[in-house]
Amino acid sequence: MLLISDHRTPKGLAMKQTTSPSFRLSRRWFTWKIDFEEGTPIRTLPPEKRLRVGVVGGGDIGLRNANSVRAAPAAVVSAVCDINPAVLTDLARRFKVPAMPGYERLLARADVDAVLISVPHILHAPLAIQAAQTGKHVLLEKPLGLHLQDATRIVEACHEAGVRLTVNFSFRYRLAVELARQLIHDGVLGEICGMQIRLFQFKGASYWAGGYTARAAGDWRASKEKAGGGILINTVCHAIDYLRYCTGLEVTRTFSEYGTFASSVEVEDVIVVTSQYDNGAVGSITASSCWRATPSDEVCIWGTHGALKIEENNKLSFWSARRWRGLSPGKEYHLNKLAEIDYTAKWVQRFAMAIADAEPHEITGKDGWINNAVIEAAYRSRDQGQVVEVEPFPWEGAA
Amino acid sequence: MRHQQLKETLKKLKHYFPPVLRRLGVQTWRILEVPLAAALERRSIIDAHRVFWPAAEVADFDRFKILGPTADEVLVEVAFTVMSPGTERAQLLGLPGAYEHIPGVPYYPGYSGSGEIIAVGKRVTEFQVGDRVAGRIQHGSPAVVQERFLFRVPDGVALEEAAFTELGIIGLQGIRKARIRPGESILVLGQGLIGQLANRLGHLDGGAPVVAVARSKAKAPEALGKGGADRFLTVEEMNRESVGEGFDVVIEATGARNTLPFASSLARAGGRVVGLGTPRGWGSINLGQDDSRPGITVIGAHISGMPQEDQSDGLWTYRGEGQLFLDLLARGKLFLDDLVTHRVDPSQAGEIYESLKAGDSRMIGVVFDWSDYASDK
Repeated sequence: MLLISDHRTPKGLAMKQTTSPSFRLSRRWFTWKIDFEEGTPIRTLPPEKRLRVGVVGGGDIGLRNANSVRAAPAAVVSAVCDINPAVLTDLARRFKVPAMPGYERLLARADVDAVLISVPHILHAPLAIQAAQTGKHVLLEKPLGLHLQDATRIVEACHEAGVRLTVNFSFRYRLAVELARQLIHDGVLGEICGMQIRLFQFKGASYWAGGYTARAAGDWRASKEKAGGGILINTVCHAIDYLRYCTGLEVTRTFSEYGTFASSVEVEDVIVVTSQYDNGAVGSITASSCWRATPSDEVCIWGTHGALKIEENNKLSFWSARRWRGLSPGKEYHLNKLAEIDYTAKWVQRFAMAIADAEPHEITGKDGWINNAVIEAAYRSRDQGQVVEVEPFPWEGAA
Repeated sequence: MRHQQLKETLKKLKHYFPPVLRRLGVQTWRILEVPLAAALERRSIIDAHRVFWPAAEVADFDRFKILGPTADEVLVEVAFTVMSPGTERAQLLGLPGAYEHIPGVPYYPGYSGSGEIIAVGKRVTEFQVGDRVAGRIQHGSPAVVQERFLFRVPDGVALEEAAFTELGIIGLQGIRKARIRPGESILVLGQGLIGQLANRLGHLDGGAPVVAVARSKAKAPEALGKGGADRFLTVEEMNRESVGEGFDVVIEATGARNTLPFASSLARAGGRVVGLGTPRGWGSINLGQDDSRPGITVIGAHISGMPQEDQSDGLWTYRGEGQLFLDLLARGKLFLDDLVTHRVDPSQAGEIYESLKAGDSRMIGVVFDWSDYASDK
């Protein structure tokens, strides 16, 4: 039987193929061709050499981070701290470690080498600086600082105290991001010319009032003073960081518009940013936390010879005019079944191993500072109604 | 050609199906086409390496299954193929004047090469297995070629030079249409491969002086090479003094757009302007108003305007020109070895087409060397 459809191509119109044939690459192909740490054994350390981490803050993210410390073979949770007694008791029970009601008491403990701080943005600087001054390494939830001034104070304090500082930009370790970096490094895209970040999600009143689960309810996220901003500093900061990581390019100037429309909060729920990068490439960010349809999260990077897209942070598709590792050019490849690893655990693991091996660690205060600088330039741009140059990192070589 | 009929029928039918089924059908056809055609037409299936274009502006190299020769075809183990830079660049980029505006993909480029015959069809009389041949051959090895597009390579002619035969035919038919007489001054505009061939063939025809003109000096050494032009000028150096009264014959071989006004301004009164090869939009002139002098003749010289038979003074046949080109090589009248600027392995097709796309000013003769892909005899 013939199927008669409306899709009949009119005669005389080009019948040329306009879209690329697309191919799904299996996960097996991926692990076979790409040698990532997923396939290699993760090193562990004897118990006495493991990084002993004091967990500070046990809200939604604090708890997740603490679980990741437990999952990292080179690190161990040695004490916990929170100002909320119920949260503190819960943490201590989960990890079977001493509960420290005061931050000073946690820092005074000899069995704490490093602190993992997951607290409202406004507290990042005071807590991190205090930890640095008592000689503890600092693992800080993103963003590094509430604003650039705080970020500067944290970097300076850690540098002066000679302790290490890392920021939780662990999305870098997701396989799609690692693969994107590899593709770009191998010249699959040619010279990078454009980047786009699109992040649409819905954060309702319950989120602004109590976070994801209200286990440590607080409305700091809705406050410009305590959170520094909305979706840009909270969520898009990850994509800003891993674009830097993948391409090696830095934002030189930005222009932005933002506003608050559907949420009863001080911070923005819609923002659009355009950027220029140091190689001349142009980029944009469109993000919203009041998007009610299906959430979408998409990062596109394209260059003179190819294009790639990272979706929902762990799906990747790419097209190139160049042959790469036996894959024919001119086709679109989709990797939809990339393994989701515990990337936060990997962040802790790599940091702990770097300390044990006395080698430089990967995600440094510089990465956090530059992230803060880009975000600050974007917010300032709208507030001043003009294009704002991003401040360059002032201390090359500092941690 | 039952396979061709089936293909045409399927092509017509496919528009009655929704896109999903159509795509499925296209993919199935890609897999089934060769075995189906082989069964329908009782042809063999052969492994071949080919340069191909999988998408617009993308070149690649891979192994394919192709159909063996029909009764009128021969199978050639290819030694060398020559890139025709102007046409292939235009096709790759979909520029106006390319044979097909945007070729459907995958596309198999190339039309000039040489090699040795390894199998012949039943009705082939002129060639035998082991003959060295040159002619219209795609970038691939082994290649199936119709008997009528091949020429026997004379002893003493290297296969690398013979690989230029199809491009030589393009040059020869153009020069013949210009009807150059001894002592006529010739200006060749554009110094790509076709321009370089025009220098040398114009010289052989008795043109004097032959002046080569290009945008930059990059190709001057080859232009002034063995049997080439007498003088080389850049476009900037073209002025009243260097043009003088104008040239008897202006050969336009740039492959660029809108060159007719400039080319015709260089011809003398009553001179000829020849558009050699395929112009990519040649432009227009207002006779008597623009810079051109009175009485010029504009001559189109595309290879498709050649007679099948009935060779005459100004119009030789395809076979006549091909034989002549190889004779000139055999008798040492024409040299090509110094025109080869790039000898590449076909697996580097991606890179070489990338530089062709970018417009590498040093690129004249690009030869694919297929010796690493010879089948075991």
